[in-house]
Amino acid sequence: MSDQTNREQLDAVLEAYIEAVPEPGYRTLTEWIQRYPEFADELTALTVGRLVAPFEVEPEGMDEAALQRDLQVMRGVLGRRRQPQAITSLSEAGKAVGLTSIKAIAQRANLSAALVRKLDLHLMQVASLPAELFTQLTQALQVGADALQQYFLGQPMMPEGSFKSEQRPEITEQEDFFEAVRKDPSLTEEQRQYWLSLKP
Amino acid sequence: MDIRPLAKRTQDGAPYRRQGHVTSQIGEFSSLEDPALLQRAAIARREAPDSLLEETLAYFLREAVYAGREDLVNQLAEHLLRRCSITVRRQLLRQGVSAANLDDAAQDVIGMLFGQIVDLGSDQGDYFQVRFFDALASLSAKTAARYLRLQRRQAAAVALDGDDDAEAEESNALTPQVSEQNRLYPPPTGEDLALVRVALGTLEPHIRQAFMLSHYYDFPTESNDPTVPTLSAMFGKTPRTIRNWLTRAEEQLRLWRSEEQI
Repeated sequence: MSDQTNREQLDAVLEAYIEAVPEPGYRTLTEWIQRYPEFADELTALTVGRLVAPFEVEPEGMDEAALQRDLQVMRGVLGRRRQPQAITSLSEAGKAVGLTSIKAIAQRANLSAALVRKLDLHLMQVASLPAELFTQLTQALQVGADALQQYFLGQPMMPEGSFKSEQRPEITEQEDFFEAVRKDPSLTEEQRQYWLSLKP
Repeated sequence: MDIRPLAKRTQDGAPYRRQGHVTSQIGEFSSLEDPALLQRAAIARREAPDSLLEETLAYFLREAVYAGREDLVNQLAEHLLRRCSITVRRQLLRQGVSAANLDDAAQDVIGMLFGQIVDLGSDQGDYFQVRFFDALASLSAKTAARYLRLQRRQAAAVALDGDDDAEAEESNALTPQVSEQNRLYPPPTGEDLALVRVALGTLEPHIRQAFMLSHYYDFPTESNDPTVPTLSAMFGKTPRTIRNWLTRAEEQLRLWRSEEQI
């Protein structure tokens, strides 16, 4: 089992345990450990933490020195996120991982080529993009989500060949992702239903 | 404004859903300007009407990442951290992390908490928008389990070096005094609980924890069945050492009762 699958399964088990066992005890803990022996330590730690909480006298106030150390860790995490490998275009990012055409990227990410092209030209409203789209594209292109998000925040562009002047004109209007899905004739009905099911 | 749905799914394939009051709060506060939003984020009392719930705060933090609004990301993250820094440490201690490892473990949890919430390529942080403190307890438990394994290895190494012998010898002497009766008592409530808290506060943390689990929740000291949880396995100590701890706890509590004339 890969680390990621194992981690996802552990998350799922702990979350299911929290939902199913609002008042844990020794008997329920033992039952769950017998079902998931590989997660015995995690289930035990979670249970013990909940069982002993009512008996603890909570100290007043906050440990300022500990808080400062935590703030440093948090800023480190946020700081690392801000230095993503920049993406110059989706098609270039695709080529780097062997997806040599927009169509290939679209197939891998369960989209149409037309939608990928619109995303490539920043023609979609970032606020309308579902989280699942980021997941699909980060997996397909093997790039960080932050790099992808930074790319989508770029200025919208006109498609190549659709303008005559030397400078590419800028577009200010961007399209809602779900509206684009709804209108895209090249998506299969299954794809359309899938993406529209993610609409808030 | 539309609220971005959660991507994560349960084991049954059902999508995660925020609780109704979280969704209402997101809807209500989405139109606020940053200063007003941050003012509410700074109110840490969950029951205060103007305060942002932690689940809502996690949502706005992730949305600020989507929008590339770094200043807002930093400020919302700091408010969220101030609300949960102390909780993380308390949880880890309760879950059995030693004082010596507490700082490292807490920083691991904080790193993962924010790493998951702001990682737009993953749905791992979605549970924080559903039940923030349960998600935090789950994250702490995963971290605590890692440190408990480390602590058990450290304890085993100490025992091999012979440093644990004195305690084990003492255990031998005290073992016959341990009552074999069923120790399960209902956990106290109300005034009794307040009194018990004070009494238990006189015990060392690891002994207090072993005593509570044995006395109120019937955790066995040892078992022939390796698949059941035991205090001996949890603490990485021999059953004799655990019995010694329990006896010391009973002695100390008896002394406390006589001094307090209870």
